Amino acid sequence: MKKFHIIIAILLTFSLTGCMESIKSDDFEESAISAVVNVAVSIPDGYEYSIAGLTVKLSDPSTGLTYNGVTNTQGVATVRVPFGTYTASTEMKKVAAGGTLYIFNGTTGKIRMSPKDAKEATVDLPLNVSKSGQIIIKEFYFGGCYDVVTAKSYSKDIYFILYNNSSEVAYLDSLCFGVAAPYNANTSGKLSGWVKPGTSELLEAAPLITFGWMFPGTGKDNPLLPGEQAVISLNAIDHTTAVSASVNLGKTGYWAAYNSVTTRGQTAPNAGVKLCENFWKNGSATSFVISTSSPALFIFSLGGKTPAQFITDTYTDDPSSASTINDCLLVDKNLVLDGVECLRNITDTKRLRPEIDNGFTMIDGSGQGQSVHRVIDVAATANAGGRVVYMDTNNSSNDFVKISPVSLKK
Amino acid sequence: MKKITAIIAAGSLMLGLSLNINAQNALHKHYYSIEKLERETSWLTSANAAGLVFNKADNFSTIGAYYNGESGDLRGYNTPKTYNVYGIETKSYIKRNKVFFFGKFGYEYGVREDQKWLGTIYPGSNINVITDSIGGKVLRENYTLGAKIGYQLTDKLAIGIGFDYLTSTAAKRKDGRNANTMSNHSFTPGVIYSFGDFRLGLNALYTHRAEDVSYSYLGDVTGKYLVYFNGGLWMYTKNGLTTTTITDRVYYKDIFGGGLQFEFDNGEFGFHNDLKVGYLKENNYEGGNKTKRYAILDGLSYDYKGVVSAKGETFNHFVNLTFKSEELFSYDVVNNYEQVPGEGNSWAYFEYGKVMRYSQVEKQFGFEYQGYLKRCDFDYSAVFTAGVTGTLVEKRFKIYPAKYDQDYQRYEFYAQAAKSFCLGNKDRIEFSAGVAQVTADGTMLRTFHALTDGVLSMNTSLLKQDFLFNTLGQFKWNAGVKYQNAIGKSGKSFTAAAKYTNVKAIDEADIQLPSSLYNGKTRNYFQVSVSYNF
Repeated sequence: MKKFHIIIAILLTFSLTGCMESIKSDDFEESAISAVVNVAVSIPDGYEYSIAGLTVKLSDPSTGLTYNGVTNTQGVATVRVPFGTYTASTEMKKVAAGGTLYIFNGTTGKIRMSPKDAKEATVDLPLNVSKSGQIIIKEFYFGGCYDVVTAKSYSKDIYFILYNNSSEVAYLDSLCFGVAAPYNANTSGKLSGWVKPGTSELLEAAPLITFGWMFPGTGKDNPLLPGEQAVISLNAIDHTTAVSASVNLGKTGYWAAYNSVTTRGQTAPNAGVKLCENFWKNGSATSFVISTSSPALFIFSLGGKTPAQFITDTYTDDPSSASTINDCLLVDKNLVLDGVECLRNITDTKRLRPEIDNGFTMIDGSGQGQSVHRVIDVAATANAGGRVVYMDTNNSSNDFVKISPVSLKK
Repeated sequence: MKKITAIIAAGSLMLGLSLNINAQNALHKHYYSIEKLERETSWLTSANAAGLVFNKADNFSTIGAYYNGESGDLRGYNTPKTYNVYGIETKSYIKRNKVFFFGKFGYEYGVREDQKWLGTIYPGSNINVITDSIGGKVLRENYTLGAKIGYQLTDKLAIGIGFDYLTSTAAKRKDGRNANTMSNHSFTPGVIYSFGDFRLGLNALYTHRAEDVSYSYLGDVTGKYLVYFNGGLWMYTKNGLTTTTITDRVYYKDIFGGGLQFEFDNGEFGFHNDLKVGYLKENNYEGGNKTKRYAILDGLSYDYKGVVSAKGETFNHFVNLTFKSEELFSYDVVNNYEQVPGEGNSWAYFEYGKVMRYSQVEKQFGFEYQGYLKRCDFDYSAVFTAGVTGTLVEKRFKIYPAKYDQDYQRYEFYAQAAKSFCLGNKDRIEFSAGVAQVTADGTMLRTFHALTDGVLSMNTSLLKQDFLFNTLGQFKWNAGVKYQNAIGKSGKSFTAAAKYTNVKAIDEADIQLPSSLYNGKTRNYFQVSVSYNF
């Protein structure tokens, strides 16, 4: 009898275990951990291209996960995704009669798919259209290098390179550049204030923050031949004398974003370096600030306006703060010629619209001696008779790669 | 009322009390130890504090100091290279008429060298932790305070209540340096009903644990130190450090449960059963002010202990049965960063449900025989122990459409013997030795539709190392000596003990890790303690 009691006690205990695992098994079912998104792609009026067979990418900035679907004949892509908050994007390139290259791309606002929402959602993805640019950003070096003497990163050698990607002569005269707000991309999917009210969609403009720079000239003073490049830096000196891992930015013919009054915190450039004009400055900064982790650089034109008129027409208060220090010039997306969105983490929030840059690019971190550099378009280069033509799909996820050492170091 | 008040007041002074009521039993009290008392009466280790009323021994207290040290290369991924612990503790079992007390107080100071991958004070206390890969020295302190009171209400009914409190702090001395603060308290009220040779007990249990962790960096962080966020089965995300990276976490754990005890004991034969059940709920927050709850943990645990005893004139036999089961389920909280309704420029995280990501089921069983050759009650001339323990673990991680599984089984067979010799009339010296063999097996990873992009990745290096360590064959041996010096005739004694254990890896699974990782590696454990008993 005693032995029987012992056996019963043991068996009872064994039988009770695993209860919760059985109860929770439904929580691991596909329907409990995912939902379906239907993305309906549409093309702008006036264009008669098929939108069947397009790859639609859904990406969640908080996890970095991406899921792809393909549009059917109605232009709808159906994708099952785990719960999260997604943006859907797609793109295509078409060459029209006459050789004009059109780039169609688009990105939706945030699509929230959660256990509290419907198991299936339908969103619209209207495509925007833009043309491939003549002058493009070829390389952007912003993270700095490693100084073995101080054992810290050295970031005074920031530079970017503009390149004439076309077969025609281009002119730098009156071409403008700057960085978009916020200086560092917001993390974990947080939004900046520069979105359409009540939405997560970016404004139809790029918010230029603190400094606006312009190449001088009356129209044809600064030509850039096909395949030729222009190097622009903040401190146009030979940095290798101080930090062996750095680069020489003080060469004759290079450009400097420098003004002896407004950027007196920067190092005066070497003789022979040409100066860009600082047509706008806001706040009390004494240096042109470019983030060493996640900048968004873009080049644009003033649309035929004088700088003073442009500033008057586009100056906008920072919607997220009463302070004027982060007020911006809202540069209309149609005036932006090129841009590159650099993030430090794929969970960061973009600042440039899809028409400017439908993706993003990254380096490993500051102090690594890395830059982002355009990828060569092999087919276009072959067609150009050997002149290097770089990829330009207005999507830096496709168009840029991380390189080390940087091109000026080779 | 006055009597109860006096009892409660006496209970608060339990650590200093020394009541030598039964002078005629002082002789055998020389050979008391806390372990022997708890061996003789299984109720003393039960969570049901009312079980104190079955303590047959005289009042007994002990105060002492101890040192535990371990070192060696046979270590898990988050085991330090060396670990030295210094502590002092005091325990007492006291009774006065129908009121029974137990109290304990302890302080411990620990130093871990080359500690990495540990974001909490105690390893394994949380699944969704923030950790780092840089080894460094970690200093740990903790205080423990515990008390139980049992009262024999009637001949058949006893009641009791227990309280335990633990507070710990730990700090790493190298970037990424984490500072942890933890407090844990539990309450266990209980009742026991006796009828003849049978006893039936019931108790409730509530435990609350809170742990804060904060990572900081004193050196230059540019692109150097990364912080890892673990999501179960070595799935993680990582961040390069910037001024905006949130590196604080808060973990809150609550356990609601209870215990059921059933015992038959006719003095010669006994069968004691103790079953504990607990439901666990844990919330993990990001940021010191809990701005975002990022994970939830649900769990259910069972802990069964059965002791079959047969006591005779010269021999006591014990068969110890144990069974534990712990099921844990980790959920990712779906958060969305949104503008606060009605507020122009205020944003916050809003929760939109949860989705299960990870489950872990661990079962342990044990079967052990102990035989005691007696000189008298509480004094043994020899002890022989043999047994086996088994551990079965299943882990599963799922994020649509990917699924990852792991399972392994581990068995340990052991035998231990101790022989006590008389030195003079009252002193004792005891020598002990033991061996154990561990054998294990399992499947490291089954993968279905593995993730190929995103920030969520699997740390395959740690996965392999951890699996290898858990399924490694091991051989263990130990040797120890214990000296007990009786002081006077009032039952006081002094005890000094030392024990050495060696663990050696004896085989290594072929899972494509560097062959020198564990082959031939050992780990040494050294324990020294002294105590004054009265």
